Amino acid sequence: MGKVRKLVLFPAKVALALVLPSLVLYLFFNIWPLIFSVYIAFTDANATNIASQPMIAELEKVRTNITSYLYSNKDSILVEVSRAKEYINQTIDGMEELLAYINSSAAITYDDIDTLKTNITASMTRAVAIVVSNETMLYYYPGLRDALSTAQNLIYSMWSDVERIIGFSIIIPPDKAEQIREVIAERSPAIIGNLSLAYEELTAIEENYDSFVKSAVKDIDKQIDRLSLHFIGLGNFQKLFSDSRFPYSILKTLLFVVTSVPMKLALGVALAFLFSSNLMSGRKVMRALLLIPWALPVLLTVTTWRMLFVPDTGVFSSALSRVLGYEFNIYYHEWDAFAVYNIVEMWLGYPFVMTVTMGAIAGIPKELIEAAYIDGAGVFQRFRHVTLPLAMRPILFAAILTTGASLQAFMVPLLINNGGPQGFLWVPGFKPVSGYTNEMMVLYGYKRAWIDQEFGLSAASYLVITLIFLLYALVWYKFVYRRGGR
Amino acid sequence: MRRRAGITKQAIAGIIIVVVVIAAAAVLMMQGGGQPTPTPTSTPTGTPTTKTPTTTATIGTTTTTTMSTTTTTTTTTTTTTTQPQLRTITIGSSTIRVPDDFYEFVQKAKNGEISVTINFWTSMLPFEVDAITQVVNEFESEYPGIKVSYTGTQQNMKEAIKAGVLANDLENTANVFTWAHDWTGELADGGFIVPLDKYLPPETIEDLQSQYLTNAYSAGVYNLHLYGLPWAAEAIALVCNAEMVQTPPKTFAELEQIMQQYYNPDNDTYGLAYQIDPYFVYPFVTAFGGYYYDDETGSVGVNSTGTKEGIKFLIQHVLAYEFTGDLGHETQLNIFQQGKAPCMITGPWDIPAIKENIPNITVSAIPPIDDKVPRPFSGIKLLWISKVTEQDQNKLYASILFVMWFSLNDDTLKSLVDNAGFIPVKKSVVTYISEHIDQYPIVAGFIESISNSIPMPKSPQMAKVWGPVAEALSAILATYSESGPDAALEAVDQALDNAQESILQSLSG
Repeated sequence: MGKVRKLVLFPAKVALALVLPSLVLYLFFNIWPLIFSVYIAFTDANATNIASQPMIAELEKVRTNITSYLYSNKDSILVEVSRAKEYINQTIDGMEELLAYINSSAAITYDDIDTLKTNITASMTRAVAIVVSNETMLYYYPGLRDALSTAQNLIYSMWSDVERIIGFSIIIPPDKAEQIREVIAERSPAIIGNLSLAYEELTAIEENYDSFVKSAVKDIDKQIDRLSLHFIGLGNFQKLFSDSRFPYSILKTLLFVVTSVPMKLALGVALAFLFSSNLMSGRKVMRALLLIPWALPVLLTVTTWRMLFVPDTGVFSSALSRVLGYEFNIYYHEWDAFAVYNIVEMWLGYPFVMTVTMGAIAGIPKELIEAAYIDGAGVFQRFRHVTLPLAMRPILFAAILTTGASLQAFMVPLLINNGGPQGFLWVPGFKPVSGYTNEMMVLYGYKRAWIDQEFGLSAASYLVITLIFLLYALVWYKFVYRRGGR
Repeated sequence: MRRRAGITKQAIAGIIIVVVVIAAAAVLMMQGGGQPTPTPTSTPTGTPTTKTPTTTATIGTTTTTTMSTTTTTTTTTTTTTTQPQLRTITIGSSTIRVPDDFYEFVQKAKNGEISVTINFWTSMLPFEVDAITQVVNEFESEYPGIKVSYTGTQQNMKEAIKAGVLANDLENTANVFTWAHDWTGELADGGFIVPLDKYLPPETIEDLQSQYLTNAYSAGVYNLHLYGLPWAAEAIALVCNAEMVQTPPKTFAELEQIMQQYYNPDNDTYGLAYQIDPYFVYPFVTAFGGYYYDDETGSVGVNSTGTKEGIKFLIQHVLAYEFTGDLGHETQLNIFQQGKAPCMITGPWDIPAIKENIPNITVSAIPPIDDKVPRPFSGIKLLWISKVTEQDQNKLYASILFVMWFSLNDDTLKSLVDNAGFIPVKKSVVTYISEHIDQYPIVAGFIESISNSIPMPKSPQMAKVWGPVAEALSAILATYSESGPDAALEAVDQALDNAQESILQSLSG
């Protein structure tokens, strides 16, 4: 006959057949995000280089042609260079005229300033137009670009200050004229200095055209490099463990698990036992009401809990402050917030435990309870010695799943106080650093992605977290499931 | 009997592998198609892009010959520096010189000889959307040839623009969009917006520059390129309840007196309503010569002496008169609305909400501390043109015209002031308001504050500065609430040093 067939309700193949379609669909839609996330964890992805394809393509196009273009159009470009130098000279002259005007003893009038400003603007705009033009490629000569850009910004800030001082007045009183003199005198040296620097850079182009071409190519390469995604191998993982923030978040999450799971179990089991007895009337209604934590959206309920605990105005926080004798503040006290996390998690988690336990309790034969009752056992003894041991397996199962939920704590810390008050984090063996004191590990990854826009680092942290979960599942499988019997 | 027609393990594995392969192939195909394929021929890099029609959009002072495609010849480029024909167009009270073909386009649009549709996106509150819709309708009636598709506020505008540009979606992505200027660096570096000087000659740029307050115009300039034109500005100012404070304080000492007079926590009245976060405390930082980040030099000044002194001054002379239980926006606004504080430091965005409860308010710049001028951050609202627009010459010109019209038409700007309280930055409108200051006391007050202000840094690096500064402030406030002002004063140095260190680390790493 061959192998002995195990007696089971459904063969495994049927179960697999039922699961297969959903598995296939899940993989089909998620395979790309999954692969992409894993790939990103090994790169230095951040906001600038994650979506820069169009810009890189454009720069690449420029890069391929630039050397040949610059050499084949050398003459026309040099003509432009000399015209740019002319315009810069005109701008410098304009600035010096402005200085001479304000230093002269003549009174300052709005019209005169405006005329001088127009002249300076005219020549500066034309100089800039030549530099940024697609036809000269002078923009890619970094020294020139930086000097001219700085000069332009300084000119703008000088005129901004002058406009602020003049305000709405047409006639400029002496004290304001004095302020204007100060502002212009202060800014002019730097402006003229940068313009002269730009002039020198242009002269350098005329004298050594080859070095200009080389610098331009190097500059484009640098810009392309800055916008590109780089593969950095394990760099992100090193960064994760270079300071205490990530290890601290892992430890804090484990602490949260250790404190919240027993609370959830205790409340769930107690309520299940309470509602399983025949004493409570209208227990079906009560049961339904107790499932509200399960049914309402987490965002809504946790935010409501937060409002109850807001310092000074929240109902619970003021009550607690009176009872405990000090100010209960979830925004400034780490452990106050931690306690609130546990309370809210307990409220969110008990319906599941309760449901599972009630199912388990319903499965206990009535005769055993009655036998214990006849033997003289009280309520609590019946619970402890008869009900609980027989319901142990399902409760253990619920405990394992609810531990998983606690390990994933994310919405609760985020919504209650965004990861807790700032403080000084130090895990022995890692560099001390300042950060959020109640930041759980999933919240850490979220912050790296959304606040810091460090996508590579965030993906790496989630890989580590997934590893931790796999480890947890392995431990559970090996020591609990297997050992519990086939 | 043993070989049941069931699903074996191998079959399952096989199916999964097939699914993965199909999905991967689909993804690779999509990836390949989406990217613009680089043209193998050496297209001249002189023309703006390979897709625009080659009518020289870069008419300017430079050569009018298009660059040759063959790279071997060196003598074909003759420099004919003929001065291009420039015509003038009039928008509002401004006359702008524009190139010939742009002028032709404008005439055609006015006469309705041409038909173009452009998409316009904003991300705004409902009352602002109404005002903008009115403006769009005015534009369409003046230029019947151009239809501006404006459907109200757009969610996640920045991400949607980036996605649209990446997908090269000309039909559905915004052609023109608007936001505060601090996005300029990020959008420009990533190639998501079009520099206007690519298509407009220096004469046009020169004329445009003289129309706006320099503060506002410079916000649209990044790395020598002009990316956007400004149409409004916002900065925080001192808003006082006219019934409690008849004339706004001219010096900080006066303000402090008022605050002391009203501060009575037992009575639930406070001296000042003022939310505390890095953006809002900046005026006190700058008053003492501090700063967070300098765009030009890229230096971080979070732990400079000026910043430290500014924060210490804030603790001693401002926080002391506030409700420190909750220093967030909602609570502080509530305190002011309920008349529990005489003054509030906030921006134009809160004015409608304030006016509901307090009809008479005065707005003025934050008063100087002796001779130190507090200079808050200002956000300049810019109109940008997205990269996809370059593909269609008509849409590009329509967008440029719309951007210019929106920011230059005096009637439009005045209607925006009247209907939505936007603070204008065009010189002629600002002068008009100064001449009719009785009709526009609130706007004039904000203009005063804006003229003192410092535009937010445009560099994308700034994003890394806000977080640590917020953390430092939080730590200082925590110490304040737990141990009092003196302990908070001592905590300032350490907290700001920590912030400086983590900013420098994240900027270099």
